[in-house]
Amino acid sequence: MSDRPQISDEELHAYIDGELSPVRAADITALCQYDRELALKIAAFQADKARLVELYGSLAERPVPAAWLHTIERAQRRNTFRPSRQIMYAIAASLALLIVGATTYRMVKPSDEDATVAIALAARHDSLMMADATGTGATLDAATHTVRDVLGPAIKAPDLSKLGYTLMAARAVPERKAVTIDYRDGQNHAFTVYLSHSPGTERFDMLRRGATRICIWQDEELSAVMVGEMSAGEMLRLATLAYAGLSAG
Amino acid sequence: MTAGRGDAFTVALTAQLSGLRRYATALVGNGAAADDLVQDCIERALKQAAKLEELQRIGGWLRSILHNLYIDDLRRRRRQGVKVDLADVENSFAVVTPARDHASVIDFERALATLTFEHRQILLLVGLEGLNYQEVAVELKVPIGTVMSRLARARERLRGEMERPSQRTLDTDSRP
Repeated sequence: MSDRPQISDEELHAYIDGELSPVRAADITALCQYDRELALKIAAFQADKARLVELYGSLAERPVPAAWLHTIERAQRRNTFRPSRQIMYAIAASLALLIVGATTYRMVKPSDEDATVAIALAARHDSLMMADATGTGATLDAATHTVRDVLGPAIKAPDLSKLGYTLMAARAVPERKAVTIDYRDGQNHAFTVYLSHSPGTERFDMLRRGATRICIWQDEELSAVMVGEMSAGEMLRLATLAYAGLSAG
Repeated sequence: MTAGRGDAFTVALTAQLSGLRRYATALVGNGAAADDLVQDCIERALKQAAKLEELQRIGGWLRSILHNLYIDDLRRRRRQGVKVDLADVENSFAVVTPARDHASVIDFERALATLTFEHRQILLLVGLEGLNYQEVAVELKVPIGTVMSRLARARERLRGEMERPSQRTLDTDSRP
């Protein structure tokens, strides 16, 4: 008869996925110290989970077939109620996707053209330092005011509350004619949007530097570099909401 | 900048394609079939764009479309008596996997392929797409308790299949 505390299968997997309460997770971690069978079982499941990412994770880095882009472009052209803008964004989307394939292969190889990223990361660092010092919060209206002062009336600060992120501060970076907008979620994870005038080219990149994800989403007018410590999926959701929310129209 | 929701939809859809293709490949186990599925998914998504209520949920929405298309395809093929050749699966992954690890990749993929669609789906959503339990519950429209129990069963079965001697191993062992 074992006097081992009961751990359900569901709890075990919630532990593996980091979904267990900290107290219960600590119990299981402690239990693994002297229950070798349990420790091995957990390790095997963790290995299986890691194997999924190992096997399939890099598949997202393959260039996307051109036929898919054409499908989207054709659909865009059929929607003719605003033809010029529709086509412009179809082209922008196509270029963005073509770039995805090429650039994700260089995720660990920074290049000169990543100067925008380096500037954004430096601005983010300064901004987070200031936020930690001041602990400020901000309203969307105030942030939008800051953004418009620097980048013009067509842009507004995006509302990311649907994904649990609260606006903390918007700061102008006058020497760069740029703005950083900081958000935090309930666990105090930071997400930063660095906005500046675009050099005039479309770009969409997802980069990774250690635990930090960087999404560059740029059209002919505006460059948005979004930074946070999160999964690629979460970054894509946040970046999509942020990009869509930048328009004042 | 993007001025309207239609524009944002197209951009968001385009941004999702790489990840959707990866998910489809892992779910289906065959690169060519996965690409066909994603192409169909794009066409359906474009037709049904107005049904997407919240743009930030586009990832889950696209996967839902993909799931429905995949299930429809499985049903159609079952009616037609079509069997999936595992050689197709092996060939698809030979392209993306280092040679030294090829056998274990095939074993893993073979084990994954023995699972039900629901079990593969939940393994991939949590293990590959990185969704948390709440997000999976919302996407699959099931209670979080169902997510937990289904995930536990899926992982147990995958582990069980991995620990079972594979046909590949038996074939190799029986060779003179």
